[in-house]
Amino acid sequence: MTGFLKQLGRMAALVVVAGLCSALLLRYSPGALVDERQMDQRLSENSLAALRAERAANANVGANLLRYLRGLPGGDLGYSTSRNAPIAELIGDAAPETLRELAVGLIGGWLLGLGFAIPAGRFRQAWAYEAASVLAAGLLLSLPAALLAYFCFAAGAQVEIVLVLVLTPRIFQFARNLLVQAYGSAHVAMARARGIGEMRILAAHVIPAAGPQLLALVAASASMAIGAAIPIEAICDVPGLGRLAWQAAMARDLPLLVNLTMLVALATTIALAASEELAHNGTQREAARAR
Amino acid sequence: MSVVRLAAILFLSLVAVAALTPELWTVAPYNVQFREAPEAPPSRQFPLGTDAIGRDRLSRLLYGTRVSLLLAPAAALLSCLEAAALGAMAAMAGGFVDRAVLASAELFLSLPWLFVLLTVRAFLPLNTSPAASVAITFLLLGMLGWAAPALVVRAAVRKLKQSDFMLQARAAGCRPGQLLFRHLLPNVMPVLLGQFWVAVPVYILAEATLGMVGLGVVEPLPSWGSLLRELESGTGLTSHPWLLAPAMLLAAVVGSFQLVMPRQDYSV
Amino acid sequence: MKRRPRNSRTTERGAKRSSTSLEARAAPCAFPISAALGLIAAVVLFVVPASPVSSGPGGELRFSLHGEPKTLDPLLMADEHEEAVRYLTEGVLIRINRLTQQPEPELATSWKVSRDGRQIVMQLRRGVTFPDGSAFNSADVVHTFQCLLDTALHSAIADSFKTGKGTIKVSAEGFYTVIAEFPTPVSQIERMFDQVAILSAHATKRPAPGLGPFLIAERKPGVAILLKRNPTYWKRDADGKRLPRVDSIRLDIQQNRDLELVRFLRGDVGLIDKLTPELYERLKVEAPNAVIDAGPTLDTEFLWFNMSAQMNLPEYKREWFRSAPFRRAISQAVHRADLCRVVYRGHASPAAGLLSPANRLWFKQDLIPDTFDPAAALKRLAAAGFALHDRALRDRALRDRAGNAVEFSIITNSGNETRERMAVMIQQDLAALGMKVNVVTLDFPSLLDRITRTLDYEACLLGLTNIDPDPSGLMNVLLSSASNHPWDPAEKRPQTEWEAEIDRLMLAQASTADYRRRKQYVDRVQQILHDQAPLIYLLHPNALSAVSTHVAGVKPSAFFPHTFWDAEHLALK
Repeated sequence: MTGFLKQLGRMAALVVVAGLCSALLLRYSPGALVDERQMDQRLSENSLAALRAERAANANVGANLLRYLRGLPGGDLGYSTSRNAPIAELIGDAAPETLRELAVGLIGGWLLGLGFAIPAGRFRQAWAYEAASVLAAGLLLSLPAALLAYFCFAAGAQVEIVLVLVLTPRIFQFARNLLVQAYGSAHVAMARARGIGEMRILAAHVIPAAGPQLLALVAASASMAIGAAIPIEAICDVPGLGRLAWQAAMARDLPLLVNLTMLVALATTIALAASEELAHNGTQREAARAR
Repeated sequence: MSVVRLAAILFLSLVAVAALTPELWTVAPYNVQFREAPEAPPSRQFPLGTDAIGRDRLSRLLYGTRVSLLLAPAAALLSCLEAAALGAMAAMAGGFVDRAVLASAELFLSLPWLFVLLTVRAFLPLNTSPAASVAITFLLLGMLGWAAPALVVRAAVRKLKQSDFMLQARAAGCRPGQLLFRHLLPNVMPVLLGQFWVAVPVYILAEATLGMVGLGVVEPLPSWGSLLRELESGTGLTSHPWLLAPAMLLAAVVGSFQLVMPRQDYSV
Repeated sequence: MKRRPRNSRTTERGAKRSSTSLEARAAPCAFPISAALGLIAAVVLFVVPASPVSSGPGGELRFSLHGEPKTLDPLLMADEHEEAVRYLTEGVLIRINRLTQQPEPELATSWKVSRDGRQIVMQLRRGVTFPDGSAFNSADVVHTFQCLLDTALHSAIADSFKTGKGTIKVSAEGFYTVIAEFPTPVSQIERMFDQVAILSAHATKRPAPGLGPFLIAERKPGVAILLKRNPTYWKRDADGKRLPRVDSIRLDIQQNRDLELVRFLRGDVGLIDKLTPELYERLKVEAPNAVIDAGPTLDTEFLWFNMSAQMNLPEYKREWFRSAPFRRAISQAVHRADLCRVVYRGHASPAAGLLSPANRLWFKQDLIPDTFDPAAALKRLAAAGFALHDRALRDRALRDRAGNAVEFSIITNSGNETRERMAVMIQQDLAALGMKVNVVTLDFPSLLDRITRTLDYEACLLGLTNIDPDPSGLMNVLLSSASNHPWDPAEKRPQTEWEAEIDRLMLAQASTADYRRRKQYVDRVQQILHDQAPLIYLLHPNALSAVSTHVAGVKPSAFFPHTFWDAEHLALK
């Protein structure tokens, strides 16, 4: 229980630090103190001065933080200046779209990535498959997400496929090398020599051997997916959290971006904690089996 | 040596020669605008056609190859080295160091680093040379890209720490440095190589995306990233399939490097 | 304890076979795994519910906004996306016909302007009701202007009605007469009411259903805004049938123009109000009947140098930028025809000055763009003390009197392909003069920061979107004391005689209602800007749009909104 509470405390602290860091990064980046509306030639000097003052007030990190902490217990996440709407409402509207996209992207990416990596790891001498899979992965990695989105859109496919196509080659590259190493280990050769079937070798020897790293890769792929979702949503006009984050960054909307960063930090830290826990359990089971 | 490896080596050599001697293969340098022939299709004079303002695409592709092939692998190498150092250190040391590295990785994965890049651009003089500007962009990408692979390296090292050969090495009196460099790191090479080969095209594409916020390579210097940006508008592809040439070349080069690498070097 | 092999028979069999044959037998096993995993992946991908499919046209006109409106308050709507929604949902007293550029009665059936141009008396339309059932009358107009001129509301529309000498006063005379009095004479006073949405005095909050042809039925943030026909809309067509003709309009939020084009070709979208030149040419090949080039807009693209006293630059660079011959030489060295032909694919015209030829009322007809003449440019530079030094065959550098090589940077906003290409072409044009130009693209907030706050830049390439043809709309750009004065914002006093003259002329034209006198002043301003070139005008882009053959009644205009300015008359075939 104490361990769990400590972990929870650590996660909360990380989320707050992430929020503070992103606030500082944004506040001191160029363009934080200007507003696009200033370019409207109809605005009078008074209005321009008011705009600048409003911008400066919104860019005050300390004041924003206090306001945020006061409102947080009541579920008030602040107000977005660029979207003119409460942040809780914006996140509530955008989150389901992104969650769906991430779920499909990660499941699809892992199924395809692992699906292609297993034969690549198993048949190192199958040069045709090796060459084809490496080149295909390289091609997918080389195509801009916007082009993948365009192809998917033109073919009438769902936009989630873009995330699958972006994640698959990354997962394939990592997983292939891990599986090559695992397949090449002595105990697998021994198992094969003893006549154990390939399915059993894969399930009982290869996957467990590569397990902890694959689990770490799951967590890393979750954060890769979140990172990839932002430009994909921005390019494909998907009304999710990624597009919201991109627009907040372009508009230098401090309250909105801080909230989104904290959300990303929370998701990342949960994913990592989960993979650590799974990896730890896996290691313990392996050690028990060895005894 | 296998046929595939030989073919890959030959291909890479051809690319290197072409990139280093573009004047032998093209009619003009990459920045000359043939304004009477914008968006021209492939021809004898322009084997890959011209771009929107009449510049020879082949010339830009060959010059861009130099920029990207030099800088993207360097950035990828930097991020791999950082990942190896921090991930291994965290796993070996454990305790507070491990927690600190893990927390830093989580923080790095969550923060909007775009603003760091924008701030660096703001501090750079406006008359920074294109070469310096793109080198700085890739350097930053390399410095910021360590977090995800470091987590995988850390997991690998933690597992390997408990393995028999490590116990044996410790029992034989190996010092921590020897354990790290002679035994652990060679065994995490598959992970690092995976990260390296993913990072090279990812950084090239990232440079293209960063171009949308003014952080990419500065005109008129071409790079694969800036050439790949032209692909983002997919509507022209069916009528201009030669636009895919940079993507095909990038995929072929990255794939060839991987095929050239001997697999036995990192298998246990 | 001795461990027994799990399966001794398997072990015996396995021991007899060679590893190669084992591999060969095992060969099929890994592939079924991959196939199974791939199949599961395909099922997951295609069974997962897709985004809601569009309901198709059938009474609903669909087109896209290229950005999300930040506000639906009609008094605060300022950018193009917001203006589009306001145009479709709100009623105005007097509307400018986008084709003829003439004011037409809307909620005001007639009006009379006083001789001194300070007062307008409007007769309001009777029998008009708001969707909430309340009758439209003069109280609503007075209420609208009270809200608009609230000092706490910093609205661009409101600021148009404010001058240094006070604000407009609007009063009612009976239920259907409204009197608006301005503190200073205003030429073509009636044109100002085109942008003011009339609110209901009974509405308790904003936005509230208005007097336009459509009402906001639904808003899905980031996705779309659905407008439905206003059942109480007052307008009828020539046959006496109620307008609008379409049942609803769906405004999709779509920033990706390529995807918008795909949707247009598929028939999901009925019109594209603003096309880029590249997409226009692509669409022309696939659907030649759909594209429209309505001619030059009021917009302009230009380049200027930082002449601010606060700029943090070496003194020799300040001298270059402040030198009129230097700026004129650059203007002569830029190939405007090439910019129009190559970047805009012929859908732009070279610019002579601030006002576009499309602005027939105010454009100075005898003003011609600087012709491309590098030789003349070099002569002008030589007269100003610059000289071309050939250090090596490939290294021609223009140097000033002190021997400094002419090198400067041009900043422009990234992500705007046409501007980026223009900057690169200008870079090559100026290289012919021996100038080294660095093109630096920045994201818009960073660019804005440099040109308005830090003033840390040398030259900037940007564009101006002119909504209002009247030159008074440019006061906040041309007055030297204005914050939006590009080359030297918020000057305490004009740094040069010509700037002082521009100030005098702009203030003079704003204080008289006599068109002929105003035209003289504005002509002189245009001439000064041309001669001194603080802003090097490059071109005026054309209005490019696309309309599906399924949409009838579109009358394309060079002025915003280009295709749906007459939305109540649009119909679906």
